[in-house]
Amino acid sequence: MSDLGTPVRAQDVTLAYRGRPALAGVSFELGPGVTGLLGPNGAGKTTLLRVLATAIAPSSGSLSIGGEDPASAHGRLSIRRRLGYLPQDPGFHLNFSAFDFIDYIAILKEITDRSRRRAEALRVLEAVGLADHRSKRIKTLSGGMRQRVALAAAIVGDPALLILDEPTVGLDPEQRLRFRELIANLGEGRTVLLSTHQTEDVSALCRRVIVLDRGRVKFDGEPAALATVAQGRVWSSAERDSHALAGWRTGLGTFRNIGTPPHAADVLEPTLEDGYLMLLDATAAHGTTA
Amino acid sequence: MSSTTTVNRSQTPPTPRTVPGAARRAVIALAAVEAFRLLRHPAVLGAFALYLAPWAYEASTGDAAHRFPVLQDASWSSQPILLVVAAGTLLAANLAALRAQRHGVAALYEVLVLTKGQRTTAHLLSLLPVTVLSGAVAVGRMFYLAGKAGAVGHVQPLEVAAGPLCVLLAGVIGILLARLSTSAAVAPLALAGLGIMSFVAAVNNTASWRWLGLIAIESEIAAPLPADLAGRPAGAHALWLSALAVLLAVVALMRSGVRSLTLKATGSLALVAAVAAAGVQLGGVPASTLRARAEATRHPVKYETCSTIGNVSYCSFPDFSGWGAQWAHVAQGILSRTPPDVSTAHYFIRQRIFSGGDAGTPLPPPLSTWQQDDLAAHTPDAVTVGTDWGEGSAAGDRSSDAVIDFAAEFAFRVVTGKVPGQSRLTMLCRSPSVLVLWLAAQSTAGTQDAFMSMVRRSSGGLSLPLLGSAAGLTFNAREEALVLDLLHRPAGEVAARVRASWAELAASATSTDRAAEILGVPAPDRALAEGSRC
Repeated sequence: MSDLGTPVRAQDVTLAYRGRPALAGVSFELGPGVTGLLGPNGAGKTTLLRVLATAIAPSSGSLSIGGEDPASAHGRLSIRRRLGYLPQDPGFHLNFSAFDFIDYIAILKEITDRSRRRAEALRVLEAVGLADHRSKRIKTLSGGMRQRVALAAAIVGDPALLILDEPTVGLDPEQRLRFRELIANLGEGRTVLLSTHQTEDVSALCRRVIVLDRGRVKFDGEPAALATVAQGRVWSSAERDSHALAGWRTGLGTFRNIGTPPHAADVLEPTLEDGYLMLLDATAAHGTTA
Repeated sequence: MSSTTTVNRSQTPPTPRTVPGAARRAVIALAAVEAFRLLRHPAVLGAFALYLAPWAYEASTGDAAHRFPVLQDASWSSQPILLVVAAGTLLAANLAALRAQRHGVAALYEVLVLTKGQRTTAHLLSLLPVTVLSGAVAVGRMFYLAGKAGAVGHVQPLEVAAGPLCVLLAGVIGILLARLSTSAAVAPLALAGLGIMSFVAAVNNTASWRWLGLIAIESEIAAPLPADLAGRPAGAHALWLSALAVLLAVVALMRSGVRSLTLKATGSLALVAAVAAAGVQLGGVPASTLRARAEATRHPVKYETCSTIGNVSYCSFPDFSGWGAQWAHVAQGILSRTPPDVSTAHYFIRQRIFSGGDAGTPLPPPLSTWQQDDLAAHTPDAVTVGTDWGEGSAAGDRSSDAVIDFAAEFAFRVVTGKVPGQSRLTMLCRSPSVLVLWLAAQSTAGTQDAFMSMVRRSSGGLSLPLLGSAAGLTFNAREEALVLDLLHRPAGEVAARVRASWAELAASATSTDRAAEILGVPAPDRALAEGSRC
């Protein structure tokens, strides 16, 4: 594995899906560390990840991953040799044991030496905490365990670029915490792109966040910077404030509001989620690129 | 807000580690894993169990049905049962090749290093072990049969190869179907289609187009032929199956995105080979073989070699010389019950082939030609024996009937001094009928079993056609009943009476009642003779 990660460079990437632009001129660069990819449903996150994973080719624009162009067969092969991908809905060969499944994936990643493959399968299962369950058939594992098998499959071969599409969906808080640890560790020395709806995951893991909406990049910066989008736009009130774009009762019994606060409002420190909601709401309101 | 953030990077990332030939080795590793899974698949395991179970049963019960195999026929007979393995392989290979789609893993697979084409290659390679295993069991079966003391003829390697090639082709079809449709229902439908095609081909067992199917079997009622007269295009059929397997594998690879020049050239070659093989197969039995077969039918003398055991000479096609001892056993069983002047005379046995009884209405054999040839060859009144032989305890099949047919023909020759010369069934009447039938039935345990089996399957008398032709011998129910009674008595005791009154018993004027009296048994009910043409 590269201890530098794999640089990813996207320039004006577009992709039309059923006549509708799924990606509309997306540009960004990625380097080592965990980058979060946030966006509402249908924003184009999964499409973007599949483009980066070389599963689909963009309609236009340029893409460079580790210096390779995925438009060429050689480039795709080279990228795939350093890629780990966890799809949004990972399937499993349910009759395989966890070990056999990982072993199978290892072959598909060109790990041909039997003893090395075995060692690698054990290593990744150990990394995701499933070493003790390696002989169990996948169909007997819980949803969280299966998700860990999928992550183990993604990290087989120690890839320098890791693309994770909503890996924490459906996990209970404890499992999610464990996943965060795993992903944080994986982010050391790798380029990790983490698509998620969980802003807490981004806060906890990412040194950088990209917000995608309707196929366009709406934000690209540090999580703290995304939080500042809502600076001075979050306030607390005893009753629901009709001026708020969004508001909800907190555990303390007061309302946390986002929007344009009234005069003398009790302004609160914004979180990344506040910034994200504020950003999307502003986008929805203006219908334009930020 | 900035829409992009520049990530500063001064270092150049290293090229990913690649090992020369890694893809090829990965394909082989994947093929090994898939092959192992294929061999463990319930459909394949079950198919092999179905193949081996009857064999194990045969072996454990003494295998009477296959004690005298004709190896060239056993070679093609090994094909149909392997269709079960082929069916299992088709289903299992299809499910394996569809696994990614069925289990929703395709999204992951499509971004892994091995391409769909390479994965398809691995699936195709994974068929080789099951093909080799099928070949091993088919060859094992041939060794098993060839090891039998009563085995004659020659194993036809290309016929034996057809079964495993069917397994390979079926597996390729399974993989191709997976690349044509992601529905797991398609393979069972295709299998049903192949099954219907094989059934239709089996029913039309003389049509040359049947060779375009997976296997081509011969009529159940057709007796074996010497190997060089069979006229089966086994080589062309093996080429046909191989070429189809390669051609369909090429199509499967092309469907998987492989477009190399080598692949296209291979596909073109396979297509040419398939067309050439089809042409040869559709040509039917070569005219030269048909001529040779007709010649061997009319003039077997030209093709046969003779050997003498005791005072009986046995002439047979070279493929069948191993059965001389079996024929001698029956002949001696008959002669041992006759008076010395009869038992020490010289007799001739000649093997003959005749296919005039295969098409439904039996045809008359060329009896006069045979008799002239026998005279010319100094083997006058040679008794006919066919190319079937069986064990009486497996009574009921064609080969065991052949035993009693031959015994009756030989007994007829011993009693009457001649061979049946009519182009239709020769009706035996009165005492000679009893004598011939008793001599034939009591000869060996095999002839007795075969006789009893035939009695159970007959009513109103017995007919023993000569090689399935219109000629042969026929017996009335009354004489048959008398012989059944005699068979329950000690053979030595009956034989003593036979020797003592041979001339009277062999005389055509001696009645059945008188024969019963001489032999010391009650005369059967006269009502059994009603409708008799005697």
